[in-house]
Amino acid sequence: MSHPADPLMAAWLSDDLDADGMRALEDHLRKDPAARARFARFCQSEVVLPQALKVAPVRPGTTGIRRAVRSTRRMRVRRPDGRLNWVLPTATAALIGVVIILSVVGRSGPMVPTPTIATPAQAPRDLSPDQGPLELLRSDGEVRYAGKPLTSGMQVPRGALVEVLSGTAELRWRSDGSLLTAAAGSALRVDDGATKVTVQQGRLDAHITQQVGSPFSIGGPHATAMVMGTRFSLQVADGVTDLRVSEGRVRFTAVADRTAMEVIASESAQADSRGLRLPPDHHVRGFVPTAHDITRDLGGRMIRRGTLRLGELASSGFNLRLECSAEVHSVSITMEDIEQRLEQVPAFHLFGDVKEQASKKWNPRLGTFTIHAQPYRDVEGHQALGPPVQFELAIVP
Amino acid sequence: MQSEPSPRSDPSASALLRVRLVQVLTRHQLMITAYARAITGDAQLAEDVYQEVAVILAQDPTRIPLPDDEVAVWLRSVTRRKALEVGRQARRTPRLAEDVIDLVGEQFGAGPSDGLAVLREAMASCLSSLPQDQRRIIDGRYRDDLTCEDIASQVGRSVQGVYAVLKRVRVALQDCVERRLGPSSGAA
Repeated sequence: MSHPADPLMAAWLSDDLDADGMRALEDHLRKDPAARARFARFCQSEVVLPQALKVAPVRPGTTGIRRAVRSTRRMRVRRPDGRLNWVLPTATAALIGVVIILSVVGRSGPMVPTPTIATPAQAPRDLSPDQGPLELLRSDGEVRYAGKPLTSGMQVPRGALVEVLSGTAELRWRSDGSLLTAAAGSALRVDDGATKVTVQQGRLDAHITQQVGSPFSIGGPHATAMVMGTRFSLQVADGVTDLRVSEGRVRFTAVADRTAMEVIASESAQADSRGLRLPPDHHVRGFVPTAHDITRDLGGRMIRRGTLRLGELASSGFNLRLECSAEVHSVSITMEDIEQRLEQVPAFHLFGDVKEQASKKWNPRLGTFTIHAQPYRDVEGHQALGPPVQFELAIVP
Repeated sequence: MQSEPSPRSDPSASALLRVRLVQVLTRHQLMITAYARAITGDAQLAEDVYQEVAVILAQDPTRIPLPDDEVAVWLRSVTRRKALEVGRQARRTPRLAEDVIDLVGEQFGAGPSDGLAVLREAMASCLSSLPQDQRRIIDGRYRDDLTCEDIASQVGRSVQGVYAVLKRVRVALQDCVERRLGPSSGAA
């Protein structure tokens, strides 16, 4: 666990080592594999620490809004000469371009997982006041961006943090006219790629116009909602991101565990720092599409319902892995009149996985299929654990 | 002789390539960013490196080696090259000698697909157990991105005192995370 070079490593991370300290640290790293392993883990922890702080409980007496504003100031100071300012926006824009392509594919096949590229607290890098993807239509209270007043008709630059200090603010997504209404006490940010709005706290009601080539997402600290032609609200409070859909369909993906759920009208979903929230008595944690021979996953973990493209299954075939709690030792799985089996050995697969060869090959076809799963405590299918779980799978062209 | 279809002309192959691209990026994000942090010594530059590596992969996903066990090795090499390049552009001298960078690099592997989420959750739990004064300093440094000088003036300590607390807390957090996950946890 601990290592004699820990103080040197911790000081190195703060850039607080003199020449002698550097030599001593490098000496440890050259000679001792345990030191190298510990150093690598320190570096990993440095990467996740800022992300973990976003989901760790907020200490009382301060607000996320003020912290975020300070973060903005600091980021602008980090590169005073602007020499590298083009690098990250260019790279991010290029990559998010790829993500947009994936998202368009995802309209018919949302199994394609979206990488975590834009994080909620990314700081603005382009604070031009006269152009931006969002425009403030009207407000009956005080609205600020990057700490400055934002008035009706002004545009919100990408990367800027918008704070609604009082009243409500109605914002328009300029590319397609989608409307976002932020409640008092809300803070939201348009990420660099101008394809994502992150609600850092508060409540946002969204009426999204059907989009063809430029879908964007709205997210909180715990989950992202990929939206296309829909009406919904997203609220971030008390460590939970809460989605309620009133029209259309939203793909809701948890930041923590990448589990996704498609939420339809009059449904809701919640995510927190652990991932999507499931009822405590649910022992099936999710469904993962795999190739028929289970040698590779075809997408991320989903619950409740999901969509696959038939074209993506043509070469690989199809199977479905059920991820269950450790208490589950067998699962009865039924897919309409297509398959019914009792899986008795983890990992549990809809079409089996004996010797990594699925027992039955199903040729996927277009349509919507309902899968029921009942987990059991023992291997013989006795002692049911919680209620049966239903998963709705749509296979689209 | 029949030629093999190109991924660019075969829609299903192209879709699979895109899926693989995203899977590779998601699975190796922690490895890339952490190794870049080790090379550049700077969190922001490490994020830049991840974005650049992602762009390289997105431009031509066919370059990603097919065997999974080769992906991490290949990505480590790309990350090393990009991190040194980004560091040079930022006029930052590598904070470790190059032979040490190579030795340390071997510790950065693919890890489990949910390594980042698991580590983040463990870190969040450990953070919640910090005493309030230490938590304030960590918040200032990592969430508010303040300098140690700014933090020192806010918490009424000397700058060296803030550095000392940061060192102690980092070690304590690392021990806590490893107690929760085991020393071989994470992506390394």
